[in-house]
Amino acid sequence: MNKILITIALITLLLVPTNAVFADNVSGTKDQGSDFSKAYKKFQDEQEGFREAKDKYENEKQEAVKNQYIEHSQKVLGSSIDVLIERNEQLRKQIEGKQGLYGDLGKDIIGMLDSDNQKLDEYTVEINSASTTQTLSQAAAEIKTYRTQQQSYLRKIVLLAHINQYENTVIQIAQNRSDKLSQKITILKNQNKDVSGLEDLLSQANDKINQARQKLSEIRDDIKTETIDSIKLSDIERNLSDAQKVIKDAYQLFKQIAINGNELFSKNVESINPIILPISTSTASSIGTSTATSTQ
Amino acid sequence: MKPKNFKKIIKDLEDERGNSRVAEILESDGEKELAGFARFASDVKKHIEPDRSLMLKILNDIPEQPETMDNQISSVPITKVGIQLHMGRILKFVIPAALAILIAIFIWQNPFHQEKSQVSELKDITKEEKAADQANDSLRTYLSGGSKNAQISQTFGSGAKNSNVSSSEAAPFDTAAITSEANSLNFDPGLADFITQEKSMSAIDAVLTNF
Repeated sequence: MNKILITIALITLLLVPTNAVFADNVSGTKDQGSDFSKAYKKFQDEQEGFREAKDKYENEKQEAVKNQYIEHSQKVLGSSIDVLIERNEQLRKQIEGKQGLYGDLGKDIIGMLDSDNQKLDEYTVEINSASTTQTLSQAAAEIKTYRTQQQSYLRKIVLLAHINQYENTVIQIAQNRSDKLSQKITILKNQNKDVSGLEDLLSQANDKINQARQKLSEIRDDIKTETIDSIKLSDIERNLSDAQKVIKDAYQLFKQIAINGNELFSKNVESINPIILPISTSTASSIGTSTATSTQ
Repeated sequence: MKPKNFKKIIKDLEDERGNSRVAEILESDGEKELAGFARFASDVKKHIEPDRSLMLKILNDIPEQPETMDNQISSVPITKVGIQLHMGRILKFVIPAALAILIAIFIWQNPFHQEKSQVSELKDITKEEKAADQANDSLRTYLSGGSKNAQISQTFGSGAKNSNVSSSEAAPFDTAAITSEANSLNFDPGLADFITQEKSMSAIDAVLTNF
């Protein structure tokens, strides 16, 4: 029975995708919501028209072309604001759907999103009423400054919430698993089994957990102190993926400990079998079944 | 008596069920004695009629051969008439004998016997299972005791290496639980979505910067 268990465990190890990394999730390109996608598509289209109009105006410098340029400027800025508003809505849905992840921060973030949308509406009015390229450039600069401050802060909160959640769930569960394995190893050790190999593997696994903790701590400090622009965001993403890999490595070691430990346990059971033999044939078969079941 | 009533009486007399009506007509005409006679005749007819019918049947069944009635009856195979004639004997001897034979067969070949034996077999199995459970409990107790002995031996430094001890606590390592946990090591998928979304904002930042 134990051989069967070991075989099943080995097959499971082969089948479980262990090299799935954080980047896989990102490249999974999940549907981010049709409203956001539509808004972003519209922005891309307007961006193209704006570039053409801008190039034409800069080359020709004519009044008729200037009006087209202003019109395209209004459109691209308007569509940018639409994207930002839809992004806020996406984030709001995510926060409302995961109260446990964000905790009390959730309310603060939603409050911030509401304030952000209000500000973006004000910018929309300003852009639509603009009649000169200077006014539009000024509005674009205001939006840019606002975004740099506000969006960076929002990104920080969201990233930190996810890191906290990962530490409180995955890392904590890994630590609990390590403690349980340690207890099992101690039991085998008390039976004078050679558990040195298991102890070594567990030590390696614990090192991995500590590495992951350390990594997350560094990422957290980084998020708190740095401005989260696109480049920084990519760095953070890569570091989070590394931390995730380290924890997965720890679980590979846990699996190995379990397999090796079960082998030691099965040797232990074999030594008990002679005790069962003196029992009559009919009852012995029942005990055999029960014992096998209990080991499962 | 009215001539009309005479006609009715004659017509009713031709009818087998008309005797009682003849008596009524006679009585209505004041012929009480005749009416009483008509009723008497009707009663006599009622009593005689079944016997007469039976006799007619018997006579019809007898072939037209120069044999006596007794010989004829005894030589006829068991027919309705035969059954009717031997009904008394059948009731007295044949039916009780048949019942007695059936009872004897029932006792000899008891249909519930097999079922009874199956129930008995099931009881035996239950007893065996109980015994097995008890033995299993005993084993567990023994193993648990063994574990304690092992701990005692370990504590006092005796030769625990040679003891066949085990422990119900030393259950195997839970590979299934580890595998299950290993499948949930990713960050919340919302984070990946958020980062992807935020990255796409760089295009907006670029437009705002280079406006």
